[in-house]
Amino acid sequence: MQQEIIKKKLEIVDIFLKRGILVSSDLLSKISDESITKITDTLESKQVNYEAIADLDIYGLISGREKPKTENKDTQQKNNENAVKVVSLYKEEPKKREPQDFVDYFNNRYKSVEKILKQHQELKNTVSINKIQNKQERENLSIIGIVSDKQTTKNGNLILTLEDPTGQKRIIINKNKPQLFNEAKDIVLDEVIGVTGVNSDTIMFINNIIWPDIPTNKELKKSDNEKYALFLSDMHVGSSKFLPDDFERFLKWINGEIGNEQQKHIAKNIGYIFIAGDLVDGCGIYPEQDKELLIKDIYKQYKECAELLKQIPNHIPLIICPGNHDALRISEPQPPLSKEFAKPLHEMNNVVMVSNPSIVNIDSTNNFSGFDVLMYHGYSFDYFVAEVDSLRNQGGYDRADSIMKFLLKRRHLAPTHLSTLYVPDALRDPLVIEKVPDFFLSGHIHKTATANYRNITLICGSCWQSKTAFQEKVGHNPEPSRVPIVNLQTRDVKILKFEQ
Amino acid sequence: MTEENHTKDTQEKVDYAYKIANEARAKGYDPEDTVSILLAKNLAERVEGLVSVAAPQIMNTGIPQRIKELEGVYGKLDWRVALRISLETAQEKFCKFETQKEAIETGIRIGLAYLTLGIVASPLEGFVGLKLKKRMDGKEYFALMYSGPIRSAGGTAGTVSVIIADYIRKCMGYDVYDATERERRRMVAELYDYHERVTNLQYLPNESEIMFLVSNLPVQIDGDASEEMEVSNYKDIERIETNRIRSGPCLVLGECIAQKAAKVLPQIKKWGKEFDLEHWLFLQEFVQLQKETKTREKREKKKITPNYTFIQDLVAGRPVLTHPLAAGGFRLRYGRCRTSGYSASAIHPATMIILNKYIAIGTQLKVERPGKATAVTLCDSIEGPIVKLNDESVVKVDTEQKARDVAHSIKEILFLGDILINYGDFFNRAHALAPAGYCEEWWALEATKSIINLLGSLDYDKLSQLTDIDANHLEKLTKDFFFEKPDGKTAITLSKLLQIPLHPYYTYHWRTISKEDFLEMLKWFKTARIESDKSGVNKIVLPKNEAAKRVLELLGVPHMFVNNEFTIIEKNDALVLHTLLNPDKEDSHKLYEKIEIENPLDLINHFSDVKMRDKSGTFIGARMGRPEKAKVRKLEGEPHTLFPIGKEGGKLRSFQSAMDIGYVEAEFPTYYCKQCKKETIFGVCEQCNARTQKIGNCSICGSVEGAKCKHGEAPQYKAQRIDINYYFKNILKKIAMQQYPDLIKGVRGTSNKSHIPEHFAKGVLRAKHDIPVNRDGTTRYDMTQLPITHFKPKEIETSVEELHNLGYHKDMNGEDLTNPEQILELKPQDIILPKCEDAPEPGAHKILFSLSLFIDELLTLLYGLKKFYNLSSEKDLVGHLVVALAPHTSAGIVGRIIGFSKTQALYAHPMFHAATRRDCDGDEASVTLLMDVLLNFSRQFLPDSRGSTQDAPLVLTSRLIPTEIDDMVFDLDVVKNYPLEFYDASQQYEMPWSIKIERLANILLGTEPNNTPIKYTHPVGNINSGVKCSSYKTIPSMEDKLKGQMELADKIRAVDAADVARLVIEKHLLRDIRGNLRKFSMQQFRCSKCPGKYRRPPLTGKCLACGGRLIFTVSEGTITKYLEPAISLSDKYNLPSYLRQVLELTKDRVEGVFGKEKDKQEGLNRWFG
Repeated sequence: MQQEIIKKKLEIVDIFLKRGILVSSDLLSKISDESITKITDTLESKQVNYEAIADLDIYGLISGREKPKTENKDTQQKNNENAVKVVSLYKEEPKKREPQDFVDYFNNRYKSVEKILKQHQELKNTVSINKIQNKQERENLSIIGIVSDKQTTKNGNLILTLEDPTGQKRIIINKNKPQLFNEAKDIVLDEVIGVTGVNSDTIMFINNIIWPDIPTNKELKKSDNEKYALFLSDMHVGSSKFLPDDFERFLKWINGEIGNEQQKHIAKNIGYIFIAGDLVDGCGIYPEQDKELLIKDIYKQYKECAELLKQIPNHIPLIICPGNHDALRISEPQPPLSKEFAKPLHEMNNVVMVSNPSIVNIDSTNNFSGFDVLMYHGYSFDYFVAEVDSLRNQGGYDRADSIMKFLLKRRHLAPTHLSTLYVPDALRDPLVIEKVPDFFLSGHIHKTATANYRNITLICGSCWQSKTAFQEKVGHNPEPSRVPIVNLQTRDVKILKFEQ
Repeated sequence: MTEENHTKDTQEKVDYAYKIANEARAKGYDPEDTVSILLAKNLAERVEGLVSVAAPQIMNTGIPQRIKELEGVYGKLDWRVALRISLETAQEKFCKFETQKEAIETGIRIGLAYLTLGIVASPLEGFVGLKLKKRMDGKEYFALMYSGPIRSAGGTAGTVSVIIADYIRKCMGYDVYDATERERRRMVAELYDYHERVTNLQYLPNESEIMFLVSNLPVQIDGDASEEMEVSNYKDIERIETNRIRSGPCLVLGECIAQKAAKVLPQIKKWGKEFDLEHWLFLQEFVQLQKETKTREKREKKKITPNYTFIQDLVAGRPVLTHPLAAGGFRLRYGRCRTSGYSASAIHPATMIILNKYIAIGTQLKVERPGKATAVTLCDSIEGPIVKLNDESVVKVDTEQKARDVAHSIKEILFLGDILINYGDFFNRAHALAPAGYCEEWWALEATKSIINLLGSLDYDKLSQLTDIDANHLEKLTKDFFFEKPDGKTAITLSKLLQIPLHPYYTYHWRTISKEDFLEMLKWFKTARIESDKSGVNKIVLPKNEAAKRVLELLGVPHMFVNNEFTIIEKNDALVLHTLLNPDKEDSHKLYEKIEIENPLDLINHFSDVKMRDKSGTFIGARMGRPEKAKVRKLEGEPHTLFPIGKEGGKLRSFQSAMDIGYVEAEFPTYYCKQCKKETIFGVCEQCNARTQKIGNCSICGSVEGAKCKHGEAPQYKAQRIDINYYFKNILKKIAMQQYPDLIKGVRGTSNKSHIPEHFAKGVLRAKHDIPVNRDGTTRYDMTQLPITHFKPKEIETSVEELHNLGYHKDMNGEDLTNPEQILELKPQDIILPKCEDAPEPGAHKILFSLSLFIDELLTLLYGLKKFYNLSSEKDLVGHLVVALAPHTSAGIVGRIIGFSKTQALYAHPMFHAATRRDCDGDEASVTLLMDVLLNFSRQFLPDSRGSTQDAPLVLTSRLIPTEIDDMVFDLDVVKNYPLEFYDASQQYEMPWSIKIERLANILLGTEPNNTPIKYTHPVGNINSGVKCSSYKTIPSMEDKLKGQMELADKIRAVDAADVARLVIEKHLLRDIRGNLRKFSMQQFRCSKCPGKYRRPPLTGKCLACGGRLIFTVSEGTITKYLEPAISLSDKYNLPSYLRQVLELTKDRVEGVFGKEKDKQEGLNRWFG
């Protein structure tokens, strides 16, 4: 038997090797002995698009036939009907950090995104930067690099410095190539991109820029049954601007007490509720916050929050990630809410606590792989709205969906070093979007936006807090008390309004 | 020597120094062959000199003459002079410009320079240029580009600069700015962002004010981005080119136009029509708008309320001395001593000592009123502190010696003592007078008046007969009142006979206790044992009663506490209290209780035949600002010369390590020696001593003659590798030095436009004398600015003979100068430099003496001339000239050294400080020897970046002309006494101008003859007493400073320690921890070996330049440093639970990133507790 399995595994390695892909031992070890035959069968069948799959996708591919083992005990099904599995969750212990951790962190980012970029046809034959000196003048090249610097020349051309583990290269994007130039204007520091162009002595002239992005052939998954997923964020319980009446109305609806027939029908069929952070307003988030708090005690804020959430029918799982107002480190990834501060929430039996960011799989059945939901509170959004002109031109804070697209295209939740607070993980960059999700949920912006991007449903939750003095000042126009809901059978999105 | 001769003498000395320096510079060792600092004999020349930095073509085109003419028409410093001269310059009446835009810019600069007396750098750095932008209808309008240094122009000049620009605009036919709604809103958002996130604006207009201004201003107030931060709202506006915050427009709109509109308006009304500026009358409507807002904001004007501003921005480690208006804090005492006024205030030397020496002469205090900040000096004729000792006794600490004796056994500081603030400072800041507490000078006025009323004249003999008090004593009590105190019996007798309030020495702080307290104390007195002798009651012995004893403490009654049981009041205090309270009287307690008078002071006055005034008056809140300073200015790396030594100079940037390597790679100018036929980096050949020729470097044809070739400009420098040993050896030979100093330090690279280095021979000689160089080529000594109007020869270590030589012949009373104890009035251009033995840094005497030796060697060895100074000791500096320069200004003023004090102050006449355009609120100024500036300063050393001409001596004023100095100094009061009406007015919160007290303005500009002597109200024994160096400067760690701060907070009654703890945590520690935690993951990285810095670490993990190890700029230690002290503080003072929870959450956030440190847990209360 053992012999047989080793043989089969070698087969898998072979199948991939023929197509120029090296399978990691990590993946091989994950494949259970029983399923191995199925996998080889699947791979042998010609239906697989090798171009588009990375490690996890292979896993996703086979998981359709085999139920993945979950890493977390919390993820066990709380309800037979509503399957919730935590696919990826951050649980590293905090520890002392050294400069080398930052170095490793960026190298890991480079490697992860490079892997995604390499699947692009144009980047099959890239050279490492220290090898460019061996190349001829005017030779066509492609390289993959992390953006170290971005300048505009006197003539208005863009000059970037790209860096890979072997060295740095300056590249120039001429403003006379308007389409390319326009795209390139959006490039932000520390994202990883691929470029093709012509080599010259000190600089490379660019013809094409390739972002890792989402494969165009991503499947639009649909569930067999009519069931709904509901998305909340930014409750800000404890704030003097929290909207208890609106939330009350939401609770009445979900308990079937108000709404028209169709709305009641939806309420009855809610299968999952996601909450994308900022459950409470917190304490000491900004100077003199106490003047704007109704509940000045963090424990009482969570207690009150739990009292509200308990009024949701408890057969519906609540999947909760933290945000920057919650009581834990702001540095991302943020671990799940702690038992110390958020005890009343932990005590609820329908709550699934996850990290920010995290990936949660829902609604899988024996013959359906379920939907992967990427949750990210959205702290980095502020930076990109401020720094990227095109995002502001598209509507800035009113259009969370364009920010989310922007990040998906870069396969990273906060590419620029300054864009969010993060913990430099030496082992991997947890903010890289390695796995392509079916849903991308965020919040933070206090205004709902939904869109579809390459068959990923983008959803930004609304909030339950009226306009704060700060938002007034910076000109944000929050739209509180809106609830986006997705019909998992049709993938249609609806937004219910609960404001007065 | 007459005053005129004295001025002439100074002028001659300056001219002679210029002559020598020009001879030296002609030898070619410096960037220019002549002295680089322009000598201006008056304001008009200074204006020309200053603006010529930006527009050299204006020199010698007649601008100063025209200014003089215009002054003849409109009067000195009249704004119309500025308007006219600006317009004429813009119209190219004096010289041509390349473009009309340049002409207009220069015009605006000239006007602004005139308004700011040609002293500050604002005309060059604050107004940075003009942009012609398009209106919606396509016509052109003016956008004025302002930047941060406009601040030093002051609000009024800043505002008038806008009017000048608009005047030119109108005359030259440009259209008005048509602000859009978004542009207006952007300015609102930007001002608020600037105020909240960058730095406080002195005046923050409200939204409607800003909207109104921007709509109505005929020009756009614009500027380049100054902050990294973007505005929070209203970005991407076409006619505002940046989204980042611009300090210039914020300052001009807020602190200039909005704040000064009311001041500018009357002038517009006066001559607006004549100058076709009537459209500026919109300011009328604006001022109306402001008034409406203000009346809405504060209805009740009379009376003062506590002002917490000064305490809000407190700094950890700098103690809070009193909360606003808190009883027991600094008592306001009106007056001026010879070292106060012009924003400086004085406290008693004993106060300095009992404050654990945190406050020294020159230390800045942030105060509640009348201004924001003040520099502290001392005055020993005002009241000192009252303290409770460890043995529970209460004593008045009225001498320095007493303070030193009790300093270590103080349990509580009940009263801090007086703070002496002059009338002029209230006048200048337009602050309503606050009630004065009863004091000797007031009592003397009332006594004198009453004696005359009673006896027809000041007949002390008659009064003596009536009272049986020695006539001499009586006279002294009313004339020498600061030093002559009555005994209790005399005080009571005089009060009764003359019908005047009881002498302040026996008046306690009755108003500050409650009726309840008072009755408690009265009850206690009924149980007292009272002892008398033949002259009356002389002892009151009271049984144990803690609560009642506390009342005595709060009143400030000196007493003893013995055997842990008895409270004993002795002698005069016993007699006075017994007289006032009359405890023997059967039902006095009931009488007091029944009557409906709440305040104990009024209660006593109601029943007693001895009347009293309120002793407390107004208490003024204060905290320590920045410590005083006297030290030589050192650049980073402490270079001896501005010569680039490249990375070959190693960590120390030394010639020695470069010589070990053998070469230096840097940018150097290029010269050619025709005799030796070789290129060199010097203007004089290091081999043959011939003058060399500058050559240009074209990237195509190589070396060319001159600065241009057919390919365009050829820079006269290039990056090159020079043989440093060769140059060094030759230069050493030239200056005939066999041995050279062990460490000679240069700079890593030159930052000026043409990469001009200083000749390193200067560095060798500076290193020999151990003096550093500033970035402009001079050596600077920085000091806290303090005013002084009178001095005693012995205080400044200058003999009577020397002072005769310096032109001091008479003392302030007109007596011949013979004795070092006599008091002399200071001549306005004379200065007294610091020679403080308590300070950690060497005094000015040492540095300037070394500097003189350096200059003499430089003259003889490098320039081949004679010695200039020839000093044999530090004392010989007396009589020599220096150049003084305040930060943010560009014009130096010549001063003459007449001696040295033991403090860390630049003691100079208020008019001298005004000539540097600074008041004495705790800021610093610098001096250097005149010859140093002339020989070693060059404009070409200044970096090619904005702001570089600030703090550089571009223009030199040789003669102080009182009408051409900052007019704020004119408000200095110059009298010997304030009148009785003044004290009455202060009780009514009258405005200062309702009482006429003579000010400097009256002497210089108006009614009084010009040579009227200046006087002061309060005498000072010795300006060198008290504390001369703040202990803040000698406490090594922040942690210990914080502990010291809390120790004082605990000790001082007028300080709410818990509030200090809360503020320290909220404003300092928490922000620090959270700010650094935030920065941790956004931090830059730097190389452990070279100066390389990285926005984020390179993927290779090593420095890209040298392969060195990368290190943090924000480490875990900097984040966790204050966590423990903050938590420990909040525990000790039992702060509100919200704050404690915020700390707990912050700790959790820190530990969430770095993990818990187990071994630190036990030390949690190690800090405070």
